[in-house]
Parts: sequence; C-alpha cells; structure tokens
Amino acid sequence: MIPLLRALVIVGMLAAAALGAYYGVRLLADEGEVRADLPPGMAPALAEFEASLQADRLKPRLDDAVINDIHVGVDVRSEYGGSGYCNSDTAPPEYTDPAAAKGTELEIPSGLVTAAFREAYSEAVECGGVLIAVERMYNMPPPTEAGVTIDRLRVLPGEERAWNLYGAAERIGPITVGSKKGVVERAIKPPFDTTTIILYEGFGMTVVRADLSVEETAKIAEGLE
Amino acid sequence: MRRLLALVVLAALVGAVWGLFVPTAEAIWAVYYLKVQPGTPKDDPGVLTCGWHSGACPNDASRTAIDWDDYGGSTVYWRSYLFMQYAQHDTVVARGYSTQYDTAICYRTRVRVVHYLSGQSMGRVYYTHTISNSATVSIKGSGSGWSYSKGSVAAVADPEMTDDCPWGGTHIHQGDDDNYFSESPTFPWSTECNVGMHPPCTKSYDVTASDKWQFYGSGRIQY
Repeated sequence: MIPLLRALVIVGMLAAAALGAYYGVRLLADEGEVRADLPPGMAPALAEFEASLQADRLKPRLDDAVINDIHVGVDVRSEYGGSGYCNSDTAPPEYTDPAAAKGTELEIPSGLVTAAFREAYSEAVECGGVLIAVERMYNMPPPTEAGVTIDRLRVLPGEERAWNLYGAAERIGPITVGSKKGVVERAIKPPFDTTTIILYEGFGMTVVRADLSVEETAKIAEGLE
Repeated sequence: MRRLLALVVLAALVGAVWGLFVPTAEAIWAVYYLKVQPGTPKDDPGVLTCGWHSGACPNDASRTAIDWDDYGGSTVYWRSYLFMQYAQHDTVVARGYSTQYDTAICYRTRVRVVHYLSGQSMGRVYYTHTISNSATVSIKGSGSGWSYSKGSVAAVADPEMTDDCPWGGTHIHQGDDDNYFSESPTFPWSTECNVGMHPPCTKSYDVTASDKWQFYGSGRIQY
C-alpha cells in the first residue's frame, strides 16, 4: 500500500509541476510582456532581399537584347509595336470576356497552378474582333500570398516578339521549358520579388510570372504545353 | 497527509517559477488592419473618373479597380492607414516595394506590402497606366490607433506602351489581385459614375481621410 501511495504522490507532484509550468508560461505570453520579445529589426530574409535589391539597382540593364528570338530590355515593346493587330483609329483595343479565349491558342486552362492558389482576376483584350491578349492572376492565402500571373499575347505573323524586362542584365538569360524556348529573368529573392519566363509561341508569346523559384515557375509554364 | 499536500503545493510553485523563466517556443500573433487609400497625385481633391469596374469602363462585373484622374508624368502615391497590434505609435512596420509589372499590353506598377519584422506578405496593389519609380516605401503602423503613410511609387504613363492598350488618356487604374482585400462601398459603381456619361460624372474626395480607403485588408502576423 505504501509504495502505491508514494507513486501516487510522485505522479501528483509531477502533474502539479507541469500545471504550474503551463500557467507560468501563459503568464509570460501576456500581451504586456510579449513586446519585449519582438524581434529587434527587419526579418533576416527581408533584410537580405533589401540589400540585394539595392545592389541590383546599380547593375546594368538590357536595352535591347535578342534571346531565343525574343527582344527583351527595358522598353522594347514600345519599339516593336506590340501585337500589330491594333490601331487606335481603325482597330482600337477593347476589353472582352476572358471566356472568349476558351478553345483558342490563348486559352489559359484552369488547374495549371496547384489547389493552394486561388484565381483572383482575369482579363482579355481584342482588336478588330481578334483576341490579342489574355491575363489571369492567382494568389496563395497569407502568410505566403505568392502571386502568379499568366499572360498570352498574339502577334501578327512576321511581327517581332518583345517583352519589357527591367531587371539587371545578369539575371536574364535563355531557358527551355518542355519543347519551348524562351527567356528567363530570375528573381532577386523569391517570394519578395518575381521570376519571369517568356516562351516563344507560334502565335506569339506566353509569359509566366511568379513569386517563386525558376524551377517552380517553369513547372507552371510547362503545364501550358 | 499535510506533509504530502505541502510537497504538492511546493512542486506547483517550483513549476510555476520555472515556467516563468524558461523561454517558450509558442508563436506570437499580432493582428493588423490595413487601409489602402487612392493613389491620386493630389491629396484633396482626388478625382474619380470611373467607379468600380472590371476590364472596360463602365463595367460592373466586380469591384476590381477604380480610375483616378491624372495627367502624364504626375506622381502616383502609396497612401495607407495601418493598425498593427503591439507596434509603438508611428513606427515603421512594413515595406512597400514598387516594381514594374506590366500587363501584356499596358504599363503597370505593382506595390507589394511586406511586414518588416516577419517578412510576411500583407497584400499587393496595382496602378495600371503608370511607370514604377522602383521606390521602397516605409509604411508606419501603430498598436494604439491608425498610422498614416504616404510615399511616391510611380509616374503616370504618357504615352502608353503600344496601340494595344485600351485607355482613353492618362489616368490611374488602381486595382488589386488580392482575394484577401475588401473593396470599399464608399465609391460608386462605374455605371453610376464615369467620365463618359452625359453629362460626364466625376467625384472628388479627400483621399487622405481614413474613411476614404479603397482596399481594406486584415490578418495576423506570426513572429
């Protein structure tokens, strides 16, 4: 009987100690006390991004480079005139229902991004009755909230493919995704900024931008095959 | 029996003291509320030229964006009010990163808001027909009320990129892609007020007033 009583006392003491510890910790978690525990400065990952961003801003940009038959640079689209389908007098651009892209080369199929993403926005534009551009945006719930934007642009046969890229030249280069060739602009540090992949298409271009790594962005682009 | 009881009480006291001084790995959560104001060049009046619309104006499909009057080259501002639990009054608690994020056919600036201490995203806002100045805006918050912040993020484009962009002249098309922002019912739908109406409809607001927010976000930040 005595050993049983001793065991019960020990168990009781341990339980009481645990309970006491728990309430002690809860006391510590009181709002007034928490302030002292907040991190003193910027999140290390964000600080690293800001330092890289500042360094990146000082690096040279591309004015007009041709990579895999796509002009890229800081203002190449104004130079190469866009799709070639639009004219402000004879074929002005007009917004249209994004559903108009269904079954066309510009369709951006649902299910491209994982279920973690929600579609937030879509838009389409036509000129002279020809659908020239479709855009869809997705995002993840907080706290990540990484965004994904997919654009498809039709250009007239013989027109140059061009896309403005504003990042440092050293972050821009060729890429192959599946059977398609294109250009990649690597993010300085995802998810704080964006990876861009531009693919050369027979009809024009597909552009995938994501606050993700090159590999993850390429996976999304590959789904557009 | 009394001795046993005293032992148990003593153990509880020891445990409580131990609990007070041993660091905890428990997550700390802070609640925030963010009001994103219109980005017009003037504080007062900021002039609305097309109420809530999606795509072309007028279009009441959804509260996606509002058109604000402007002129080529004028400055686009980030304006916000932020309540951030635990933050001291008017301290910088977030960053807004302005970057060029064009559509397939028009110039567009994106401002992404990131919490300073945790690096967590707090939302994104877009200003179409504008050219980013690549600025980093310091966004102030307060745990005892609203903190106001303002910083230039872009300039209004003129001309636009190409003939592909559907626009009727210089303006700011301010919208979001965020499923997690609410859109203000203070501003009219585009069919109720747009500059293309006869007679044209424009509405003026003091865009620094805290009740004239365009987007409203809330969430929890984990430290």
